[in-house]
Amino acid sequence: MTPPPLLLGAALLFWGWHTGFLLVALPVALLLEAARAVEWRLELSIADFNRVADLCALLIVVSGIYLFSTAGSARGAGGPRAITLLFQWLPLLLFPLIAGQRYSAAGRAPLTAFFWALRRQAARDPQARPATADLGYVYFALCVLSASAANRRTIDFYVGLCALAAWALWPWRSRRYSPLWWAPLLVLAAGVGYVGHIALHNLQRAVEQTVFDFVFNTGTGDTDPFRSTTSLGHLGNLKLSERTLLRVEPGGGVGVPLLLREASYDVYNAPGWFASGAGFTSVPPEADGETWKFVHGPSSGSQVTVAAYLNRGRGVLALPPGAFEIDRLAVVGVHRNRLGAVKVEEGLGLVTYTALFGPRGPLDGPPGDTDLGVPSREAPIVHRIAQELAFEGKSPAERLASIEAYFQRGFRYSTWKGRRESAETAIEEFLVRSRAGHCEYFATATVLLLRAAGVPARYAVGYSVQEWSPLERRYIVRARHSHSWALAFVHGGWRDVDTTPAVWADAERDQGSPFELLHDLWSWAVFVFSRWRWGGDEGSVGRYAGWLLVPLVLLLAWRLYSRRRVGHGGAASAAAAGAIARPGQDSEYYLIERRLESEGRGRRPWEPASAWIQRIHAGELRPIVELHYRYRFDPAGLDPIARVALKAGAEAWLREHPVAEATR
Amino acid sequence: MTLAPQEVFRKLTRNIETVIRGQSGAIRKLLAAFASGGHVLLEDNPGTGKTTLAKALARSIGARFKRIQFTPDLLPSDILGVSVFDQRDHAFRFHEGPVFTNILLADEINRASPRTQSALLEAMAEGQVSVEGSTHPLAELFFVIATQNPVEFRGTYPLPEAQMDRFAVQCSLGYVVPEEEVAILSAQEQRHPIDTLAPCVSIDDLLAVRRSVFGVRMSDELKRYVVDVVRQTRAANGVQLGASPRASLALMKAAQALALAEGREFVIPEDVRELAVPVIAHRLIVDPQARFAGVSAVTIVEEILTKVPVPS
Repeated sequence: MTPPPLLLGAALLFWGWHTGFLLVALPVALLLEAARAVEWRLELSIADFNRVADLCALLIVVSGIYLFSTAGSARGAGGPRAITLLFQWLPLLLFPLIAGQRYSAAGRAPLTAFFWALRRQAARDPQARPATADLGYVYFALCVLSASAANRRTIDFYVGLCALAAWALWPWRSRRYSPLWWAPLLVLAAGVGYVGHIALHNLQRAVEQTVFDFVFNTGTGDTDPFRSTTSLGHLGNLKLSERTLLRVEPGGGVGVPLLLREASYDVYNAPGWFASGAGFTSVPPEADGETWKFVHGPSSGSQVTVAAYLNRGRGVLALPPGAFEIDRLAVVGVHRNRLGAVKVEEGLGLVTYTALFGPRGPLDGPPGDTDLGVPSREAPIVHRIAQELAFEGKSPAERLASIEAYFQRGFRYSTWKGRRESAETAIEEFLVRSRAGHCEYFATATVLLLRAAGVPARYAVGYSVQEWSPLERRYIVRARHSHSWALAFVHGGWRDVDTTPAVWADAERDQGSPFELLHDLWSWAVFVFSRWRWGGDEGSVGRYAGWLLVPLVLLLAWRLYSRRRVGHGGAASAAAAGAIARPGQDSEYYLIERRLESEGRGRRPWEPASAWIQRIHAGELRPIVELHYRYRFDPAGLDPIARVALKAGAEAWLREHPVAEATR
Repeated sequence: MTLAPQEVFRKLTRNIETVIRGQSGAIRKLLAAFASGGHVLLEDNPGTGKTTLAKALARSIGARFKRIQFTPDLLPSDILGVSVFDQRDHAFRFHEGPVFTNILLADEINRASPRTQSALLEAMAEGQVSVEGSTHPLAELFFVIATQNPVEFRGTYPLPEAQMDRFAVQCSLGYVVPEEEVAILSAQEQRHPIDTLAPCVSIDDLLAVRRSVFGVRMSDELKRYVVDVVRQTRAANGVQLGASPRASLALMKAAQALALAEGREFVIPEDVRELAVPVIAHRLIVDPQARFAGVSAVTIVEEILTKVPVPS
């Protein structure tokens, strides 16, 4: 299957037009199509084709490393961009192959150039002729695909593609039908294709999103700083995964377990908590672009370093209580709200930041009316318990202490919830009947009781840092470590109030999957790759790229060495074959054979001479062949007279066939 | 005074061709195997002239000829012979079976039980018969033509592959062209020409031919070609078991005999190529899967012949 004239040139120009390499595409297309005009051809052996293919592979690898190291240094999606660029370069990188085929005498490329298995097979059986293929249409398809990688998203691409496809298919149309049928059908197919590609595009977006979520989105679920839906009232077992979300390295003097808060909320409307009036304001970065301060002036405090994934560059940071500064945070925008949530934008896939925190942080705004509100549905039961606890005459700190003590008496941790009376609320069921629940129950009930006691309180969600990973040698936070607690405003500042029984973490751990270790290994590998991929300093990718060249050089050296060895092996086997006597190599019959071969009537390698001369109707050669056979295959040899007769006969035939002379 | 080897071949061919028409290729192969001291297996459809060819050869030679019709109840002693107690001598006397002859036609060999088949095949390989502890040598000229038909399977015992290897050549006759078939009808209008067939060569002539075969020269290059072709069968796709060195040996001997038939004192590549299929193909065990795909031993050998470069 050879493409019609000028199709490849047109495809190359199309490629150049779309990828912006038109100046390169023009001479390349001319060079390719010039093969039709010139007469001369190159005698390229199979080994030559293999070498050209190796060269192309090397070009692709080197270009890939170059693109990856240069495109990867820019912030953002460097890897995909490098792959797209490499794809756009492919027609140029594979040009030696198609040019080699075009200018070779054979006009087809052996498949051994592409498959090592075939090369090995060919090495084992040197007699076998390897299968060949015409790369024309393959190269055509490659040009069109590479042009598509430019992703211009214009209608002219599709029109051009359809025109080129029609051109490529024209020679292969069915001759049984008139072109008048063919053309409208093609237009119809193009129309269906246009609709189909839009559908495919949508599908691709969906698949991409799913894959991204699977690999990188580690389930943080983009904590919504405005709204938190709880599982209050959820029946059955509550189960969270063991997926690792955060990696935490606390600084000196920081105790564990440590609570890292993502957001807090002030309005409860079962089953959700909402943040009222929590609009975000932008935080300006410091001069280095990676430090973000929430208070001005130098300050000191404890610190904790957190590594977290961001979903498409956005996310809410998990911060320790009282955080006042974030260092080494590689994002473009940081925003905060009055309830202490910090949102980042346009970051890399993985951010590693150091949060500085002190006893009284600036993030949480002063308490307001909403921080004292108890919803009417929960009010009766909450106020009844508040009366039982007798807050009268106590200071806020004492009221807090009595509430903490209340939850330590007779409440237990449970992720299981059975049936509930339809009339009662989830909090009522928790406080009065079951006295068992998970952290959301404890946190919500604590907040409501605090408010009933006149202490401003908020509901906070985040993570509890408590699991040390011997594998990674740092603390890891899994999805099942997500936690909620209460914030109480006492002594002029917000403090964490966690009334959930401390056994909750053990209870969650007992539900861990038996495949947790495997999961952790995979998660760690993803993290190490992500850190390398999005790692801080810009030169690192280039540095790694340099190391990537080492195996490549080793591979090339090994290939050269092994090729030389094969060469030696070939010589040895030739010597072994030479051990068999081959008398009569100087027979003049070979002159005839060569002469006929030059006329295109040559003997096939497996064809015996008698069958050959019968095939080419050269019966007059029979006596010469008989003498030659005697000379070659009779161990007794040819007597001198017969030897002279062979020579004379062959020379006479050569003289008598000047036609062959003329065609030479 | 014995005839020249080429003359023996020519006379035998002419004599046989008066009975079997349009089968000169098969006759050539048969005689080449005969002269090289090998045995022949004819495999073809019923009625193509297998038995007639065997009988014609036997009658053309002034030699003893026996025929055994193989049946499932045939016993080894029916072939080899049996010792009978002689009342007068008070001793056992060995009565020779039909195998004690010059030319033996084993008709429909695949109908006898494996036990009986192997009794014959042992005699073919060893040139002698061992019965009840004593060994009886067979005649110097001992040649077996076995026939089998490939279409019937019920009540047959296909020859094991190892025993197929004992036959130097397997060939088939095939149907002749219509003109030849008409000529066959005309020739048998009055009576079968085989009835009037007279011997044209003697046993001595044939033994001389067999000795002459040993004198036919073969260059190392051609021996290498024979080995290359046979070796390729062991690595070919779709072959479970390739041909043995015995195949190389048989191919060389048959090529020598064919060269002698052509009046040459040395072997040429054409001799080897002509006999490669009948000598090698029946020894290959073809993979059942390849067989379903339409590959046969014959096509495998033919393909190998188009791959191995021939010395020229």
